[in-house]
Amino acid sequence: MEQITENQFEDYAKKLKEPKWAFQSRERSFRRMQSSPYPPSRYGLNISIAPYGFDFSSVMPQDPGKPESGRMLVKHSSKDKIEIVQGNNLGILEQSGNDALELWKPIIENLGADKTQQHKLSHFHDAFANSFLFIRIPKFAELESPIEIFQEIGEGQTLSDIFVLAEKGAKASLLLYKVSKNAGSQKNAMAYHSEKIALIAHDSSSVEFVSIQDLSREIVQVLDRIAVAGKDASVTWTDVCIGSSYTRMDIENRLCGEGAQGNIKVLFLGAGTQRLDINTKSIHAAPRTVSDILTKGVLNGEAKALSRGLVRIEADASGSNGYEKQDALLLSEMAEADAIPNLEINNNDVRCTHGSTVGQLDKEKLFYLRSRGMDEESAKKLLVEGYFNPVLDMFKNKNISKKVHEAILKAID
Amino acid sequence: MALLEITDLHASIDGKEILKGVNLKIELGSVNALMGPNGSGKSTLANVLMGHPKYQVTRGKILLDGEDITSMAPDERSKKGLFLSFQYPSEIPGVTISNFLRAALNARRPEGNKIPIPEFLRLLEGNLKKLKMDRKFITRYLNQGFSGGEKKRAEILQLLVMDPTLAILDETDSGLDIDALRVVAEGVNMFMGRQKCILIITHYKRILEYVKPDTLHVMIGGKIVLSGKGDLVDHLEEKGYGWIEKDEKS
Repeated sequence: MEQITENQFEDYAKKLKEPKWAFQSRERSFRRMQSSPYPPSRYGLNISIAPYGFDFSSVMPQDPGKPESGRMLVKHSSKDKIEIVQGNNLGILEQSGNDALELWKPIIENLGADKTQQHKLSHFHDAFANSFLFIRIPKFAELESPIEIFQEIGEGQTLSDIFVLAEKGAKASLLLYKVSKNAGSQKNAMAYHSEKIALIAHDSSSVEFVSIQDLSREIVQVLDRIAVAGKDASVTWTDVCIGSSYTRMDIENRLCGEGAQGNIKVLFLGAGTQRLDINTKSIHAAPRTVSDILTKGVLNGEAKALSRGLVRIEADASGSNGYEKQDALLLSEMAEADAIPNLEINNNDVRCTHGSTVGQLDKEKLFYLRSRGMDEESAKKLLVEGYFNPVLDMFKNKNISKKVHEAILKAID
Repeated sequence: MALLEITDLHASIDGKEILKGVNLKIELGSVNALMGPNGSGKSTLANVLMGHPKYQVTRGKILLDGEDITSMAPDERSKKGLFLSFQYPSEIPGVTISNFLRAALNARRPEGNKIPIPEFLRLLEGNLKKLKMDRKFITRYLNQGFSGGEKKRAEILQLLVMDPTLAILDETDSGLDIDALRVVAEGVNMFMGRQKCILIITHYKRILEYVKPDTLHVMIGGKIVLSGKGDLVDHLEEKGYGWIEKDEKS
């Protein structure tokens, strides 16, 4: 990224033919990119979680002239209720009519308000993003089935942005499936992919965003999710992370309205030399807000995962509850998992708890299963499936829990 | 030929010898009881027979149906028809009894020939009925949050569904109330009706009143020191183990 020149940026941005405000916004991000650091890969004395065999500085923007690359295919059964704008540049907002520009431009700009805090990869994304999806769920609309989004990550660099706006009282769930376009084909080169998702949940709305990714092991991905929840709104993230070579994931819930709820569940399965850097945050900025974070995964081979969680309760968030739990199960001697929980509490009238467990498969349990005729491999699989099942039981939407279960079964098979 | 034949079996845990030369024969169709004071090695014998990796067999051998299983993996032993009802069954969170049993049955079938669901449900429901157990029981996670009695019933349910040839019950009767004991005993008798053999490890005469042993073995100090007819239990009940130990010393 250091080698990206001003000219390269301008060439890239011009090809997109975006309106001036969008160009300026990219330009600001490009400048910030130049001056900001990479995200840290070392934490404390002994924990390092850098990508294996990949250097961020080698990432260069690619030709934006492939609009089909990384295009998101959206399927939903309630066409009349929701509004979708989609394309490979921000010019689509003007072109689509429907006041899309007035609606989305302030959201894009507001979410970027604290961009100075962000790292180089995040600014790179904002400067060069090439796949956009905007979804508006209107007031009091209640979607019966999830909005499904399919995305193939393959040729070309995909830097995608998804914005979801749930208006007052709206209820919706979204399901994002990400797979590699040439899954199975052995390419040696590592590909870089980044993704930002923002959920804006207005008062009394409820949004659930489920993402299941099973990318090939050549992909290095950086994911950034943020949700802002209004009064009595509820936001839920569920990420099932199976593939990729390296995933850095930042998920933040900002509970800004009284009584807002924010949930984060990250389930992961790692093998080989996979690296997972999971960063979760619940920010309580209003009274009586409730948050829950769970990260839970299984690691085999030489896979490594780090889960850092933060619950921050601001001074005016009295009567709030925050929970975080980080669990990992190691199937091999070389696998490694670390958890760094953090609480920042600036109000006395709150409840906060955190806990973390890192353990191996229980040998007695393994013997019990083997005494019933299961070989070591099948016994381990059953225990791994069982490790995740209590989390799946918590899903209200059985259709989604079924899909997550299927993804887990496929991963451990 | 005996179905199970144990010859001069020595086994240790962390370098400490627990079994010090066990000899035992079990015939097909027979009910065998194994009694002995605490710490005499009964549970160790049960676990060694099933192939628990934490014990090392240092001498001797175990023949099952003429085949040497001394160094076989536990799952192989299970497939050969051996079953252990555990004294303290592990809790398996996230795995329902139903899922567990299906996986166990499929493990002993040829690859790609899984048990059809209707057949599985018939088998399961038939056995639940025999044990007077509620159908809801099989949707619970195996042993998780089970009472002592429920854990033992779950073991007997597994015994009936898996239908081995030789079942070892390691204190399956301990900690059961009278009703639960009767259900467990009935389950065992149903199993024995199928031309099987069984080794019941127990501290109490109670279960042996429901399941009449043909032979009773007494284990002391890591060895079988006495084998006799089933009615030996009355003698033991009356006199304790002291008289045998005295005999041993003289």
